[in-house]
Amino acid sequence: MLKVNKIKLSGFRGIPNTAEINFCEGSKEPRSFALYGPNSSGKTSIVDGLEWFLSRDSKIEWLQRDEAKEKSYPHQAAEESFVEIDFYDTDKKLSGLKKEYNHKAKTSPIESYKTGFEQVYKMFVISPHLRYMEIIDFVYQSTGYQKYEQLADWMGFRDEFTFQDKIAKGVHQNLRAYEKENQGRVETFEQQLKQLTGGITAGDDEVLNFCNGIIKQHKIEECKSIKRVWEKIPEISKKKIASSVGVTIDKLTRVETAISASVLKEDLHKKIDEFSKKIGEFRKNEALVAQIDVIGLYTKALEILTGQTVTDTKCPVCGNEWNRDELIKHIKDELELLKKTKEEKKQLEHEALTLKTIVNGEITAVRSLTERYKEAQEIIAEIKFEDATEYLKTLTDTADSLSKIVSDVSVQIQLDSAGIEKINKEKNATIEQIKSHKTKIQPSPEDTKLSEDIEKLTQTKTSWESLEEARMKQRFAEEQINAFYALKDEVIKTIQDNIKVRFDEISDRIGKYFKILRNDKEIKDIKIVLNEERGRAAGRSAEIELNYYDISVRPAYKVLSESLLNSLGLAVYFTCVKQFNETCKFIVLDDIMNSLDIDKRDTLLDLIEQEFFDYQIILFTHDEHWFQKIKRRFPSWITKKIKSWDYNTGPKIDSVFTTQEELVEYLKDSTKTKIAGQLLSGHIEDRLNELCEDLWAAVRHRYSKNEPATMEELFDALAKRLKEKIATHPLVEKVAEAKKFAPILRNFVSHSRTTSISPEEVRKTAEEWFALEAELRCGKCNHFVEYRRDKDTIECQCGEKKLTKPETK
Amino acid sequence: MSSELIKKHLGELKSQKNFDEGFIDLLADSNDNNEDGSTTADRIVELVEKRYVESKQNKT
Repeated sequence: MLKVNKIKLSGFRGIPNTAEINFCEGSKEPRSFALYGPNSSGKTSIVDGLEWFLSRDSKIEWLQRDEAKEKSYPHQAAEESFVEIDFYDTDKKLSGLKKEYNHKAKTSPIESYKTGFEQVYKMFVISPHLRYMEIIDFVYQSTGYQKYEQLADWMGFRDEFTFQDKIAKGVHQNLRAYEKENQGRVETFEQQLKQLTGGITAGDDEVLNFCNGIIKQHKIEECKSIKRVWEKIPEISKKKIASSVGVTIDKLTRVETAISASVLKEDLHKKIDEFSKKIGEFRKNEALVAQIDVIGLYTKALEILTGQTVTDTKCPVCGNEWNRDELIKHIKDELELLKKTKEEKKQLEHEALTLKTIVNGEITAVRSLTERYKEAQEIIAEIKFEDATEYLKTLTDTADSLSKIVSDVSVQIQLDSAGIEKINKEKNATIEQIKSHKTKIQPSPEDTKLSEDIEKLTQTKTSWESLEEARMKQRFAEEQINAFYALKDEVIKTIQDNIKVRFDEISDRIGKYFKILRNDKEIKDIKIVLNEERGRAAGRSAEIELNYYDISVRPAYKVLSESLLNSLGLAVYFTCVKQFNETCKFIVLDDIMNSLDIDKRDTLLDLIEQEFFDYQIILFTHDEHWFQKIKRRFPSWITKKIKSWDYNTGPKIDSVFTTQEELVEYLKDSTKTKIAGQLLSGHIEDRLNELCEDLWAAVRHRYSKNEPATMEELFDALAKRLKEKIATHPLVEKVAEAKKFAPILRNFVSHSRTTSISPEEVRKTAEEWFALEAELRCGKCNHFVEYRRDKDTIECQCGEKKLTKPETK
Repeated sequence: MSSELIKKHLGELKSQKNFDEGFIDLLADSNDNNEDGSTTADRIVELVEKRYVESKQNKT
């Protein structure tokens, strides 16, 4: 079992000097711990330090973006930055470990004892720290694929996820490109053959008819198969005059036929143009594209904002002033846009890769054409092929640009239609030059015809054989790739089956935890399911399915409210901790109660109390009310508060007193009577509200939140409710009598008469109130009494404290 | 990190001899060495090309 005795941070994030938290204060073994601090008081720096320390890659996830990353980890004014943890390990394998920031190699911190760190990393599957935004991300901002990825980290199948992802994206896409390349080669040779034979298809029958038509003219018997035709070529060649003119004619004819048969992609410039337009459209959102890497920053901004209570604030990213609700919506919209832009970028990268393969094919074709031109030039010096050379250069530049165009905004791409037009013109002109040269050297028409026919047959043979070869290779590659796919499917199926088993294993517990967090009888049979059918990420996508009013719903967000979804996210996280972290018995929770409605925050404490009583909880919160509840419900926890924070000194952590203890302190100083009165007034009002709610006392409904129930109304409602349920119990009278405190306490909020209240009056009021409070609270479970509808009783959670009607004599 | 589950399963598939052994080895390497997808794909294509050349040589 692994817990934390002590954590020490120095020069890390917002902590310039050494800050230390001792979890063994007042005991031999580490205790749970709650730290209260307002927003921006340094709590997150402590969680960042823990995450960095516990991360095998030494990374803080929310800071993983270009401008932040590792360089944002150390405090700028600190000379050394480190996190040191002293572990409590029942197996006695681990004790103190220190991770020090390495300024020379930012991604490789100095670990005090490598083997020790390796042991720590192996101690947990799901990272033992949870931030509020992780819940929000999981339930709202993630697609099925992103949920699956998050679960991979939470449930320990990251390696399998990486493998699946690699096969689906990298391997599959590249093999598809290879198959297309093979297909493209076949199509090119088919086109070439059709061009040579003038046929509609490149089928064997058409090729055979074309060849038989030639050999017939030279009084040679027609053939029944193509291969037989090729055997006849030497026979025809024998008829050729073996003169130097004949050789030249022969050579020129070969070159001429090859040039005629060359196939270039006429529509390539259109494809380039279409892609260029897409890139242009994509770049219009220049600001968004540039911000893809700051998705994490927006996420953090949302985290900070949802924790704030002020109504007007400035966007930490764009700097504009916004109303809080509008800003949250603005950031959510921006996040959505950025994620969409990132997807578009990926799609464009894939298209650029495909297009580059096509351009490379065209480069090969033009290069081959220029080779033929060079051969012709050896005989006819006047032949020039500047357009082909120019086009080749343009194509080479285009291929180069395609490699960079998506990520580099300065790269432009353009392929003028004039290029292919010029090259075709040049091609025709060259053919004409060759023809005219052949006429000039005056061979006999029979010689010319014979040479042409031999060359046609030879070229047809070459093209046909190339096509056969390309088809054969395509078939072979297809068989091989299919064999690979069969293997891949089998491996992926095993991974998916294994993950489905894991999902099934945790589903019951998720349901159990969700029930503790939200006692909603209409939500049943919660399951995590692998989405195997739908979308591009089929088999790598997870959704939560549940039964809602006896109807099966998937994904759960279709019917659940924001608050219910948050509870569901928490249930999944806590389930994974319980299920997969067998020996790591500590959890760090950073402001996670933000994800729950105020009236449901107690249920999170119920979950911790019922299911994680043997865990060391290290909890950070900015909600003082909730913090006070924690203090009351878990008296064995260490509780501290951050008194202040500034850049040069960091957080100042101080001990925490109960309200009662704080009052005593304030009342020692007569100048602090007002503060004491305000503290007591706030405390009694909070307690009354809580008691009224838990006891189901009817308080007059208010349409506006700005007009809360008065203290007198709360006292009346509570007394009336107690009278209904426990009639003549002495507590009913005591509560009714306590209403007398109301006018005194009211003075502390209506400033004019504050001075007329003496410290003694406040002390007396406090004593009487806390005595009454003690009678309403159980000394065993520390819960106030509440109304139990199932039993129609008033009792505490453990049942030890019960308020009943006194027996009548 | 490589996946133990995948490693074990590929080992089993190899002994069953129902799947292409060359590809099994290739996937095992990809898993062990944390190769990225395009490197693995390049190695698959390389193997297919090599086999094609061999198959042609065998025919002749």
